[in-house]
Amino acid sequence: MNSIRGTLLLVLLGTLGTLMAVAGWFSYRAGLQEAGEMFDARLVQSTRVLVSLVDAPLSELNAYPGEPIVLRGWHGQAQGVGEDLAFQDGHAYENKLAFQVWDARGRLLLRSDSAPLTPLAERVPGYADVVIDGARWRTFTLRSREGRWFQSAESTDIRQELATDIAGGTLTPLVLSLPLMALVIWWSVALATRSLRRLSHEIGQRDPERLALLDPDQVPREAQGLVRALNSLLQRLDVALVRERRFVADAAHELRTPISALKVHADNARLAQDATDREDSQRLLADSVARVERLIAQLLSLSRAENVGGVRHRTRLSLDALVRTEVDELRPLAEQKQQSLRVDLDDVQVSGDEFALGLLVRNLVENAVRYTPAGGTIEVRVSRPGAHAVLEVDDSGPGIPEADRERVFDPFYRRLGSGEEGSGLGLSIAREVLVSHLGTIRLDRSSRLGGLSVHVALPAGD
Amino acid sequence: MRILLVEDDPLLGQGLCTALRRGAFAVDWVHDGAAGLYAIRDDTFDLVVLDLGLPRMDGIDVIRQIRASGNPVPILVLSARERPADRTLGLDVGADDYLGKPFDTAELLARVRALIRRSAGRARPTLEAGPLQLDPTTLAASWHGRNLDLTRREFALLRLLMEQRGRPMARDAIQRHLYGWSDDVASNAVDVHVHALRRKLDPGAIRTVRGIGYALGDLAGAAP
Repeated sequence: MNSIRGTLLLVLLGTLGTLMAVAGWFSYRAGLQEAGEMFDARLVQSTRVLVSLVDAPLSELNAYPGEPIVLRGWHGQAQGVGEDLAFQDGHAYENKLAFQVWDARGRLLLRSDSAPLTPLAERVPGYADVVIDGARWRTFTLRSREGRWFQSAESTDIRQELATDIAGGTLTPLVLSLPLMALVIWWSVALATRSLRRLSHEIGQRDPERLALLDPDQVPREAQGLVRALNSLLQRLDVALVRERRFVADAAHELRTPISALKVHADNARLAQDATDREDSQRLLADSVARVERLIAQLLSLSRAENVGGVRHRTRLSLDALVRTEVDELRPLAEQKQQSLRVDLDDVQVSGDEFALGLLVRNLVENAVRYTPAGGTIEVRVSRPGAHAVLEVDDSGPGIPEADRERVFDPFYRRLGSGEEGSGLGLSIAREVLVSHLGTIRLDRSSRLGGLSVHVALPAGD
Repeated sequence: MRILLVEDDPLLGQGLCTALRRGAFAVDWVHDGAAGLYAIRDDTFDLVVLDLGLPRMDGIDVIRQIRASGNPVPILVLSARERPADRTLGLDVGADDYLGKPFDTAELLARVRALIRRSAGRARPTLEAGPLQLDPTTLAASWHGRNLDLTRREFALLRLLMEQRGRPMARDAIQRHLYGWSDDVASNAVDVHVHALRRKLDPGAIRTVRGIGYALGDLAGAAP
């Protein structure tokens, strides 16, 4: 079913052919029926004519002649139809007709030379269908007032031939029209799809920089749905492209300051006048390298989080095990700041990409550890209160004022005065992961610890 | 020569402080635009190195307000916004120079020196007074062609007095130009440096102006 043309040809010609076959069969049946009635009537008539002509003269015969009298017909050779079979002295079809006259005692008195010596049919008045020498005959038997039996017969070939001729006459023009029909279908499909070919040419000429919408009025109504769907895809592509470009520009911009710091510290280390200054500069240089490294890792994470949109890597996994792994990774950082990092994990399953969900958890917990002052408390909880798996990260840090709780999700947005060297990407990454996992994220003031409370809900995996 | 650095990035800020101090400048560093503006209003600086993407007040607004108050302090913008339109805007609102990030440290220091030279109305890159020569680029000083071994602070003091071309300067003004807020300054620090310079050059190289402070002495006929 790949080609409209092929499908149309197959379906239309198939249906037409079937209809013609059915029509032909009905026409043949009707022909057979009508011819039968006509020929049956003629058979009776000719029997009656025979009776009226020969019954009385036969009564004048006083004795049985010993041999039946034979009436000879035309015995030439002829082939064809209609006038080709008719001659001045007879007709080629005469041997398809036969008659016999029997006396009351069962002796054959008279017959046509096309009739056998044995009775054409049982001597019972009325019609009968018999087979003589392999050929099928229709017979009519009549008993005269004198007690003689008159039998007329006619080969059924004639009726079948007539019915076939009628059916054939009806079907021939129809069958001859099939190739014409095929041509018409072929051509009309070409005509109807001309605008589609123009459209595909137009799409083929497009370059990714110019995603102008297609005009649905240029194609047949049946294809407008396709064009609208394409337009919607083009629009989404355009949005994604703009976002991608802005992200690349932002990333390049965000790298300028860290790279400047790298260069300055490298120069300072090179030009330092004493060992202490050199060591200081080298330490700052290492910090700058670590920062660039982290920023680039975060950029890659964000780009990867944006690309797990599909269900390619989706598996069922245990959220509590994932959280435990990530928290253990961050524990040294928390210990360095003398923070208390507590976990309270229920057994909860989710379905998703392990890498992406790991990023989500790591970024949320790392944010809490980074922005909570030394000696603070961080609590990570996993629970399943209803249809959703819930991850909560509470801290005793400064929190985020309500006015800023939306903007902190923007890439590279850093809150002022946090005193921390973040990339401004952590929450963007978290939100991208949640978009692709149909989850939600909410920021609040922590009622338990007074700092920030991050509430994440994911569809449970069971 | 005292420079105000307005930069919100802690790592870059630390690096810039070190680099500028290496050029024998006193550096004060603030982390946001508003603090930068207050510092410029309340204190005297020979130059401002200003980032644009700053917390609390954008660098462009800082420049506008400095210029609106009539303050002619040279401003060097140091920004990640480096498109021509950004540079044009920065210079047009009143910045004197514009350097895009990432930048070359040597170039930054050269531009700082150039701005200070221009604001002092000086044509030559080196400072000269009689047999005394100072090269701010290499921080080299010579007396009658003989190289002088000066500390960074001594060099800075000499450079400051030479820029004044014999005009006297108050002791606390000298101190303000030589030290940043965070520097630990002994009350007689300026006197100690003056004393050291007189010993290394000539007792008359720096003269005491009674009741005011110090000025560069008349060195035209000074003995080697």
